[in-house]
Amino acid sequence: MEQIDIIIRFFGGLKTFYSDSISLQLAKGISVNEVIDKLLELNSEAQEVLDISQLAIDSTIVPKDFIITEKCELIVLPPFSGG
Amino acid sequence: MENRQYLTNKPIDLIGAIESLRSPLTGGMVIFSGEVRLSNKDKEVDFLEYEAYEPMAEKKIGEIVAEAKERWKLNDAYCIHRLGRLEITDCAIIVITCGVHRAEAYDANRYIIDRVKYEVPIWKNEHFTDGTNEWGNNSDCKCSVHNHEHHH
Repeated sequence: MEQIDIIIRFFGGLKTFYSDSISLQLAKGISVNEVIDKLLELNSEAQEVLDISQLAIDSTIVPKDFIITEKCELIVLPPFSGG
Repeated sequence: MENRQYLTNKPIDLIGAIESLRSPLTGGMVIFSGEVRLSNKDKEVDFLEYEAYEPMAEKKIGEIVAEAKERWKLNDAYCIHRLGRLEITDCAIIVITCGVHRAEAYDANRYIIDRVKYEVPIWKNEHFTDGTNEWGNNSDCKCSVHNHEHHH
């Protein structure tokens, strides 16, 4: 199965569970939900925050059933706290 | 103030922003300044750190300001959020709205700050004097744009 590089960047409290970013080689056609499952395999303690996080590619929020077909930077956005 | 920036790592120049937004068409200018206070959740705050997913945050604040300008027919509007380390009493964000009359400037200003808090990818890490720190979360924010009561 063809593999693609996905860089995953973390912000806010999620950096407590992961580093600033990680790079994973995953199957082409993987869903965002399946990427989240991979992240939980790396650190299950992040589940509570991941459950309420949004995901973005190219500054646009993507739904969790979004299919990733090419290499990309996936941004994990925990609840915001600006202002 | 063409090619406006909505994020900065430097102290916010509130007076400069006010001067640059003045216009003979404006009868009411409303200024909101969000500032770092000494205590939160019954703990003493030492300092704050803000970070953002900058490409998306810049784009989103620009969209919110543009929508407010259009909705309330403002002469102008501006919002800038500071990033990095902020000390007590530092200014974290300003929102300035300029209308023909005060009513639309007040309403638009509240609309912008509420949406920025809720929709823009910016995160606050509060560092307390007891050595602990905590990432903030506005998701329980009861903003007027979401039809709830609101007290900041």
